Amino acid sequence: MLRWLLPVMFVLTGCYKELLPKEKDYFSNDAAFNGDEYMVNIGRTNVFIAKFNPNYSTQPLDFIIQQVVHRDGSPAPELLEQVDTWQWKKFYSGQEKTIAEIYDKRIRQKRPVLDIRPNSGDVIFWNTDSSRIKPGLYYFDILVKNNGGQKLFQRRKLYVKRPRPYEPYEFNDDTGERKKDEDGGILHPSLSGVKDDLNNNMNNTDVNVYFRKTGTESNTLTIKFFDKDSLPVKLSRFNLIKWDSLAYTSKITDGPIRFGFNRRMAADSSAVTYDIPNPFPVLADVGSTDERAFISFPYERIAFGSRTKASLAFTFGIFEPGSWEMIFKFKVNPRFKND
Amino acid sequence: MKKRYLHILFALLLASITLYGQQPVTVRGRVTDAVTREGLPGVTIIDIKSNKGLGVTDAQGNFTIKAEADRTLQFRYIGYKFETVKVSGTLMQVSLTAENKALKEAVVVGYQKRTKETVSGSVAVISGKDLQDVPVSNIQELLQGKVAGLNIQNNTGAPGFRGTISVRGISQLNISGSGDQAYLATNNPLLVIDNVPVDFDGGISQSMLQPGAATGPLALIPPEDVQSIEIMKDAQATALYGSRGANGVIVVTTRRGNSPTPVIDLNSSVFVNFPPKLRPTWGGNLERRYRINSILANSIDDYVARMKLSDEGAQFLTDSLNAFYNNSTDWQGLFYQTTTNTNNNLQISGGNLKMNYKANFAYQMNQGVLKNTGFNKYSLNLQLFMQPSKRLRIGAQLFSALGQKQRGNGGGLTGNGAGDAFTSSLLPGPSKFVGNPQLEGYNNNMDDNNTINVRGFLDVDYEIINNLRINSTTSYDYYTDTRDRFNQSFANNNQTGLYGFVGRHDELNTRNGVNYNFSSNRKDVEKGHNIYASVFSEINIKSDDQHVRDVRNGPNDFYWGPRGYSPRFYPGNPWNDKNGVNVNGTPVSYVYHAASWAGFLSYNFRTKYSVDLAYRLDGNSAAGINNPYTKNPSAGFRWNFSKENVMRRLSWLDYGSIRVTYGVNSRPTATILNSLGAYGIRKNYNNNTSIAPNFDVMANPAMEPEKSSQFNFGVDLGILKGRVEVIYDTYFKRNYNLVRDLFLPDATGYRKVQVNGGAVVNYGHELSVTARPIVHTNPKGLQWTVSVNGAMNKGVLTELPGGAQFYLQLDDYNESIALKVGRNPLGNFMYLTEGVYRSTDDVPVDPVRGVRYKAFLGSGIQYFQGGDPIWKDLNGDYNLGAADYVIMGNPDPLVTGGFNNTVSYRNFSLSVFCSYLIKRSIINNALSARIVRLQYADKLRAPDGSPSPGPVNIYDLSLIDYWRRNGDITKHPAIIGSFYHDAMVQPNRLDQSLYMEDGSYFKINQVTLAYQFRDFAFMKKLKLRLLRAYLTAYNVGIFSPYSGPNPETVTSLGRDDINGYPAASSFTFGIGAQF
Repeated sequence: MLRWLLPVMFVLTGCYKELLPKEKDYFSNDAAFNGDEYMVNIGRTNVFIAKFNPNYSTQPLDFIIQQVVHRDGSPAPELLEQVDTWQWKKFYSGQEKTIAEIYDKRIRQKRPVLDIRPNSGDVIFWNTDSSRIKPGLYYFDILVKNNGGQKLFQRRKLYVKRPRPYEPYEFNDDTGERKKDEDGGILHPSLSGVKDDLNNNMNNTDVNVYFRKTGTESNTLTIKFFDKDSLPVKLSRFNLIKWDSLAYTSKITDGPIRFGFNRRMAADSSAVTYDIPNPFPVLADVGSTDERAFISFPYERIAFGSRTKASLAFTFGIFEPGSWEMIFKFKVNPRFKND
Repeated sequence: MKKRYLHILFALLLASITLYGQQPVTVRGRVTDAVTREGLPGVTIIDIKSNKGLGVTDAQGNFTIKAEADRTLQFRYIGYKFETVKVSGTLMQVSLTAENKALKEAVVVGYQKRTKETVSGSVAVISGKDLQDVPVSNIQELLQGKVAGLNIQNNTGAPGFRGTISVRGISQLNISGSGDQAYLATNNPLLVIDNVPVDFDGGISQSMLQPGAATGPLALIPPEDVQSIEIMKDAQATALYGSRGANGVIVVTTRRGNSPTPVIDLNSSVFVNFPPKLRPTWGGNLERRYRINSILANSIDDYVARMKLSDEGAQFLTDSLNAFYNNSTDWQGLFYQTTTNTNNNLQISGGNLKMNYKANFAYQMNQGVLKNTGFNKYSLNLQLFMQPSKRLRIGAQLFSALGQKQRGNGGGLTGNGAGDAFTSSLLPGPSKFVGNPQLEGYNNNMDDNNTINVRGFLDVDYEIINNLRINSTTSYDYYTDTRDRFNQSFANNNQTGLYGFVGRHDELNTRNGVNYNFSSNRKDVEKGHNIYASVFSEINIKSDDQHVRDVRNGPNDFYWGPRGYSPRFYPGNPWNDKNGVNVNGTPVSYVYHAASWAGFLSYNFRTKYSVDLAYRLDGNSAAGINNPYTKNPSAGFRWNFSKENVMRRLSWLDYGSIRVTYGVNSRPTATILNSLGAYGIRKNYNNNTSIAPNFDVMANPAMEPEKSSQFNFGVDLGILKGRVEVIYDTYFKRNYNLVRDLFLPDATGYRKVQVNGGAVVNYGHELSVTARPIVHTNPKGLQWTVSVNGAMNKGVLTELPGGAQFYLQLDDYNESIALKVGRNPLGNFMYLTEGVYRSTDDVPVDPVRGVRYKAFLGSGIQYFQGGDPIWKDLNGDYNLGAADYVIMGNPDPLVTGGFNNTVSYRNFSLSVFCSYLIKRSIINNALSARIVRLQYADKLRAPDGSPSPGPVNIYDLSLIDYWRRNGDITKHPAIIGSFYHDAMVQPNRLDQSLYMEDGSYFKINQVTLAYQFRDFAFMKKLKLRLLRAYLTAYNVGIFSPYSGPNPETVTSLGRDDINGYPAASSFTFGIGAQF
């Protein structure tokens, strides 16, 4: 019975299937990138995530960068050059005890400078130096395809900007000129309850912050304070700072991260030096745009018989490797003494 | 073999008897089926010489007649070959052969009664005998597993409601509702009762919460009154039923009187409905410990844990010594009950071929296992059939029924039972002082649904000249549906609810035609050309009016009124209709006209080769104005190859035939709204009233009917003297022109237009095998009949409007349905779970960004950790997002079928009916919703806005293989990672493949043990012709790999809704008697 029935069923099923459309990959006409501009800075890794909306196109989609050209239309092969990049093989937890432990989680890998994740369309502009790539406007195309269709997104704009060695940065990364003072041409910490000798509230603008690169042997950060006469202010003035548990909050790892490694206090308490990973904080460039380190210098004093707290705080990131000094310069001397 | 010897014996006896005289003698005897040896009741005995009826056999096949010796008697019974024997002595044993039973069976196709051997369409017949012995509230339940290709899922146990039915796969794509209450548009076949086409649900489309009583005609027909049910599956069989038959046709024929002496059939049974298996739950101290431990372990720190525990809302946990909170209440159990019910059927029938009558009265009381739910039905079916002359035949029927349904506090299909009241077991159960709104709703609310159905028909058939008959059938079907509901304020958000529904549905159908019958060899159709032709027209007028009154916030629970508007209860009164929930008005009101013309031509040569051609034209008042008529052509061919001389030599072959058909059916889907558009009165413009279109739907005058083309190839085979019968069918059915919404660009000014554009193909194979492995010549010996049927159906979506490849039916509850060309028509759209992370180190790390794979596309720290499910990251961006959804699963089963067994020995018979289903995707939302709510261990209820709002109760976690500590390899993720983490990541979310399971099952529908009383002295005293007692267990058991309680009581889209009405099992003791 089944001897003749089964072949009949098989043959007929085969015939039926011939009459039916095969399942094809779906490529949505509305699949698109959110914007066509990619602003990148040399000297750091730039990541653009979740810019592509596949609109339910069948995954996986393939993304290919094509037609990388300068502004004038001439090819820009330097953007496709393979460069050394750091790739994470384990996740950064923020709980690492040493810088080496952090670095051990990364491996070196060669990638083209202008890189795209093959299936998600996340564009990555890897950390490279300005000797290879000149700042300016470049264009490139992204070809998106699956077996159901393809779409060429043409003339994506890549604005390559000058390096910003640290953040906030006082210089315009397009022109290289210093910004206007009120637009961030001079950096200021945020002050809370800091008073001058006359017990007047001091404004943020009464303190300047300067970054100074002092060497390239190691990645360190030294913090110094100077008063209006350019005399060092001892760090011991900030009597509430808990040096042993100094930490900042990361938006990426969701938790406090110890501020730097190997704290070294100058004998006269005029400076403190940390070994820092590069960039600092660790995920400052790849994590998100607002992943920054934070340091606060709180102190307390007796003012008119009552104890008052005050602090200076500064949020920053350092991208260029080397020894950096972060200098707080009081333009008005603050009052640390009790009344 | 023995039969032959008997014949020889008869011949010898006859030879010896002829020597005697010709005076009348009393002849006794018995007529039996040649194969099964069962007595045949109602066999007509005719004296050939005088052409006079001498009598009929009784229920056991016994007869006593007076006949002159030497006369020749003919024994006639439908479906059997006539047996002609000479009177031989006073004792006769006659056996009627039914070797071509399957072929000579009369079937009603396209309103015409024909022998099966000339029908080319695919028609399956269920005998009324197979539908007995179990009192169900809806006869549809009993058809499950009886016919290959008829997929019935009894997905609700609510008395008087019915499950889903579809013939050869789904042919609709529209989905209404959302979440667990999403339902697929019905695929109802056309129902024809005694040649009257009726609407399947009494004109109400049964999808989810019903405004009306929603009691359809199949719930009102008593099974005891059913002679047979025919299922028309292919286009040829359904062609003559026109556009309404596009989803298949079910023809129900009720019993007819056929006995010269009046027969009284009484069938009475008592049955007990038992509550179903409840969902596993932890209660009492186990629950308290779980909750407190969970709060301590999963809060982000001790402070938060203490805050949660010290919150007054958590007093039920912490105040464990308080007797008020020291309970272990079984909330589910409180809603269920065991009920005792009765079913009674009385039938009086009699008459002969010239005039017969029948009256059937049925009463069933069927109380549901959920409190305050049930279905009582009363029906009276009167039938009269007359043949005053040879040329004139008149038939008339009047069917009337009352169905009374109580829904308690539920909707019937959804919103039932403990679902929303299934709260912490620590809370005290109901008592004099404490209540639970849902339970009180079941105890005290009133929700009476009454359906009155009156249906009558008159059928006149007259032979004008030889072989040319005209006939006219007119039927009128009338329904009144009422629903009266009163919700007490305690059970209805502190405001009373009064709801009244009145629906009237009527249908007038008249069919007038001519048919012609020609045979070149009248005496033996197997030797000539035979032609059958018929032409008829059909007119159908339907109207439907539904009115709803919905009044809330009445003065108190004892004043069930006012039933109308008053200033206080006017819908605009903000105190009355606070949230705009009232639905006063007339949701449905229409009159529908349809006119049809149909022609049919059937030709066969020696009943060996037959050709059927049919054509039907349907026009209706709702069709698009450019296409008012739908055309239904069909053609069929049948070759009874066993009648070829070559085959006649094969002694093992009883019959064999091949059928091939093709046809197109259309189904009008245009409505006035989508074909002509709607206009409304808008604000004044230039001091004149302006009339402007409704910009929601743009008119599409080119709307065409939905069509279904179907190819069918079938083989019928009977071998080994009736021991094995095989029916095989294969089909390719394409439903096209399906109406879909096409959303328009804003610039058009309209939101959407409805266009023809969807297409679905269903193809498959159906096989039914009936075998009689043990056939004993002695009727009291062991007899065993076993039949297996199965249908494999594959559905494929072949087209979407505008050439689209993909359509996503977005759902508010993350339970979207994806339609993609080339796949099964409906697929779930979910994340693919590929296991559970053994530890946090196993979570993939984004090599560029140095962070773990994350559950959210955007900023935040929704990183996966050990114990979270591994959801496939399709686009490799280390973020779980919309791009990672996968189309998976198929809510439509691959194989459905049944397995039936009947064994009889001496006076006992045992029937076992089973059904099975292979491969269907079910989403266990009942489980996932309960687990995901455990994030709120400190609360009684997951708040609105949480992933799954509803009461928090503890699933029996010992039944789940879940992740507990690093390194565990488990199927389920951690029940709770931490409250903080789970709120972000939702590891137990509903839209993942983890909860999609295979819903294959094997179900024992019915086990009946019957005892036939035979030859007892008391039977003679009581003038009992027949007495039978039986015990039936119904819904005996279901075997399935599915983790929920029942893979069948899920929605048509395969979601296990905790608020569904579970299927009850029942146990019946009944007696059938014939006087």
